[in-house]
Amino acid sequence: MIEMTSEGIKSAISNVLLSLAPDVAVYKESRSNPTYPNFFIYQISVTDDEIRKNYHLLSHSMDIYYRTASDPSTDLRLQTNLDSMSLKLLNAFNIIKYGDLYIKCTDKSVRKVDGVLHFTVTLNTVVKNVNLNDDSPKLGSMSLNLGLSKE
Amino acid sequence: MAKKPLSFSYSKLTKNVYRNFQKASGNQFRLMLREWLDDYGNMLLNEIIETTPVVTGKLKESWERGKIEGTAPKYKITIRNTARNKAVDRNGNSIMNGYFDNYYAQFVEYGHRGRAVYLDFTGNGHGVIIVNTDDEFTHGKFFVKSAGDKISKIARKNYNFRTRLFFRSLGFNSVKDLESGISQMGKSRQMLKMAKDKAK
Repeated sequence: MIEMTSEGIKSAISNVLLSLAPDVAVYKESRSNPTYPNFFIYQISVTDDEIRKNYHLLSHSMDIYYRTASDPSTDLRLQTNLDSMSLKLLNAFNIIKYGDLYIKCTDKSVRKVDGVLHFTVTLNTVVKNVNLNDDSPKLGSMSLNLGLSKE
Repeated sequence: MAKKPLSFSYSKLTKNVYRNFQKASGNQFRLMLREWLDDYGNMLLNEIIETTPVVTGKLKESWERGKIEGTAPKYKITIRNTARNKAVDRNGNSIMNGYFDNYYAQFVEYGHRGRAVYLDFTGNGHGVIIVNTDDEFTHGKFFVKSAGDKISKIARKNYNFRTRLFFRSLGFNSVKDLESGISQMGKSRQMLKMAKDKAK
């Protein structure tokens, strides 16, 4: 069974981003002196819902930033660049590969805030519970004798 | 053979399904749908207010919910935040050509370049300024997104439950009952139309 980790998810996303725009740097962690333009992969949250016995739905909610310049006011084609990249991202993130698994991308949305493109996406995977070795004593059989006692 | 129990999914509420439900319920389904949506809007507003990050408290107290808009089955509720940054002097006059005057909920939600520093412009406890230190980025809180995700899950389940109760109260206990009700309603409408045409 493949182990799902946030780092692994970020790597899977960065593979897609690198195939989409090979010239753009991809960062998984904050950098003090990043090169521009760049993508930054940020994990918003991870939720775990039991959909049926022993099966869980893991939802990784991610935000991918696309930054064209340190100061967006210096980028004369800022809106055009952000718009073209948003279309590319929306088309590229349908199903992504994670090891041998294929993960479905849902709830895709794009927003431009403060000269930065935010592409939010949720990656849903169904995972099976790992059977733990439980050595604690189990209740085999139980009998119950009910009755009224005379006082 | 056991009758198929009533089961509804919000994602299957297409225009045609809505029309059929309206027919079967004698135009009462629209009211039920609006009531459910009204509750959903209130739940969402409460959740957003609860999860709003607090520095001065201005953002938290500036949430508003609009009325239900649109036509069935595509309704819309707008929840917005009216908190604005404003750089003013001690007399309350706008300074710096209104450069800092903007709605700032989006910056809290999605993050922004630079670092937010709390400054008291007016002496009344309100005012935040964003200091740009080139390579720094403040990450977003995504509190509206997480509230939306949480409440929409609950609302979808609640839609299923309410719709089932609603149709049971009208005497439909299974999908077959409902389907026959819809088709009968359709037939009676057709007959009414034929009768009207004849009368003409």
